[in-house]
Amino acid sequence: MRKPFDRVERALATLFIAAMMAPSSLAQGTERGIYGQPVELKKREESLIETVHGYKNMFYRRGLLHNQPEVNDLLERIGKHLAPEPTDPYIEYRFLLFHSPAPNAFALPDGQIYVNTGMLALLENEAQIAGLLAHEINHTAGHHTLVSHRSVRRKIITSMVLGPLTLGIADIFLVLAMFGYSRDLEEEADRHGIRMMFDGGYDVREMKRVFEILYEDPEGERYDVKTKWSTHPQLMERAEYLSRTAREMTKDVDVDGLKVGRKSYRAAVRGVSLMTVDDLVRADYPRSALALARRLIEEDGTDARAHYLMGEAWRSMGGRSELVEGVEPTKKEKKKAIRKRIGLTREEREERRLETGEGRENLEKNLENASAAYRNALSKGENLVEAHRGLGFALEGLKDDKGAAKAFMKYIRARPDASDKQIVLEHLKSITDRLKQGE
Amino acid sequence: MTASKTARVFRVSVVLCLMYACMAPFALARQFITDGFRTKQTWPMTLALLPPHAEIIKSKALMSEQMVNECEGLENAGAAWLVERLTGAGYGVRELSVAEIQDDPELAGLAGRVNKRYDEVWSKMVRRPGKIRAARYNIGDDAQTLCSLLDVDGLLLSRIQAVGVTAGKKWLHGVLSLGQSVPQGYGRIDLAVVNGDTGVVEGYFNGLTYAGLKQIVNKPDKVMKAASKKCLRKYPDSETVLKPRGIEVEDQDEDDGEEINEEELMSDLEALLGDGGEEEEEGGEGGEGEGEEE
Repeated sequence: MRKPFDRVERALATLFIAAMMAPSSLAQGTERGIYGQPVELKKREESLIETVHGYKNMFYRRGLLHNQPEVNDLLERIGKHLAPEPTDPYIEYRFLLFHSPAPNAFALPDGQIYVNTGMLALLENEAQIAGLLAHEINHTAGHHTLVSHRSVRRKIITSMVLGPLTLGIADIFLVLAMFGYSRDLEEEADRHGIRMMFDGGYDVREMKRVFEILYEDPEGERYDVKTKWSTHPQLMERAEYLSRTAREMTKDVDVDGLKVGRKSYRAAVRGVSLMTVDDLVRADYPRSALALARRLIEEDGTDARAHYLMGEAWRSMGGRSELVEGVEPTKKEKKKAIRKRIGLTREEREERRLETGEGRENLEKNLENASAAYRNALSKGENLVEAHRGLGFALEGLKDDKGAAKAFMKYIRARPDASDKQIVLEHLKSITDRLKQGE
Repeated sequence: MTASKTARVFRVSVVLCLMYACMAPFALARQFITDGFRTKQTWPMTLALLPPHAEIIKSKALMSEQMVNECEGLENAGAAWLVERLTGAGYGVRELSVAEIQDDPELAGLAGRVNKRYDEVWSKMVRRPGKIRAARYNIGDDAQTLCSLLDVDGLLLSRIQAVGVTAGKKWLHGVLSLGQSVPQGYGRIDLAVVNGDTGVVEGYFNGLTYAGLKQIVNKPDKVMKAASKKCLRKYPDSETVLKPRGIEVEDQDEDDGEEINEEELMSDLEALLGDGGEEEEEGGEGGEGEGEEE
């Protein structure tokens, strides 16, 4: 005989499972970007747009906006060429440079599109920057922020109701649903972006290259985490589907007529690229700085500043070794490197490297390479005074006190009003004391 | 429970409440300083305050939001109160404005780099503040260069966080917790003192005051007045010398702060080097420097 509780238990179990799955089911259906038509703001969203308007002023106050007319004009020209007519009164497309060596770009819902100086330094041609801008423009044109905000809000309400009923298990599906939705919007921006790029006359085959560049990892500290928790689809997956899309789009098209614009682009962003090498050195990413400096020297070997910055990159390597080409650090090594970067100061990390024989050997090799690079910079005849200072630091590290002293003295004589003169004088004083003791 | 037992429980409760009330200000204000700072050996007397960075979170029932437009008010108020209190304690404080920094490219570059380096160090400092006492945090040569450019002994770097809780969230939490817990908003200011000779963070102070959302937005001056008072509660005035704690500092340079006579130094070096200090500049032999020859 069937027990009466069986039916009740089955009903409760069904209800329980349905309640858990409800949040993820909300990810289906209508949550896609809204293109080509205005989106009426709800009252609570008006304050969000007001907040977004304020970001430009905040970035200005914190010195994060970079102004280089040639590059600003380049971004403005490409962006305005690609951007559609704004569908809402609060959208006005503006293309701005954000001072950061990280390869990134972002769009705000009111049409502010920011491209990091580090991103510009890495890209190879105008078509790639057009692809990047097209992607970002589509986040704004598709009202992705508002759509995402509304969707997340619905899911949070659902979670607040269903979470306690399902002992919190529904929250897991909720989070999965939120991240999945974010990935859908990124893919949508990719697909609309590549179409926008094509309509703008650019070679869409270059879009794939943007993701390949982002995938490069000179520091050996980034590892792929292919989980449902990732808010962005994996970079190489994106490169793959964009490559397929580009092949289809250019099937019956004369690709020679599509714009790439390598030389003019690299000439325009050279100043920003040199600045990015310096920024990477100061942010303690010397391998990335070295990779970029090498590229800049390949493009123009007569540029003294590029050689000087190569020297700075080598000097900042400290006790690190160069990564062997084709040999990637293991995931465990990468995680360890990230944990150290987060938990220890730079000085502590360098101390640990120099405790090993390998670290001390690396330091000597890196300082020798730095000295050679500084000497190369000085040989270009541009009288780059900072190279004397850099050479002084490198030689001092190599225990060549006399050589270091000569280099520092040249720097002080050439730049008697230097802001960092006191630092150099302190080093000279230490060298003097050591030379006197050695006599 | 007998009457005497009740009275005893009551007395103990009163004492515990009083102890808690007395300790609260200590909990809301913390400071970490090096021995050099305590004994005035590495104690900057003239300081430049870089514009503080503020962050305001509006904590709502469902989703929190960042408030950006209101940050400027909090930053200006925070800077003004820090300058007033430290000037009152006998220090020379120069407040750098955003306009002043942006008008000078060299100053803008240095200030930007110092802030970025400080943010990197700050994230470690707040997790391991005890290491401040051992002078383990350094924000690099740019701090020294900036102090030299501004002709000050040290830098002040400040970060402000404010969380404003909406009435809806308070109500919701109050109902769900049956009145047991209601979230409170606050304004918090923290301040690092950086030695201009070495770049070392010599002192780190922070203070917190409870505040409602309307106060944070409409009366930032009042919120910062209270928070800065708590933050600087233990900042020694310019005359006071504190006892050292005996914490060992590694790699301390014995000659810190000594004035260097440039002319004397250069002539000493020329004598030691013997050949007038001419450095070889030609050619880059070996190594990575020869990109053009490959």
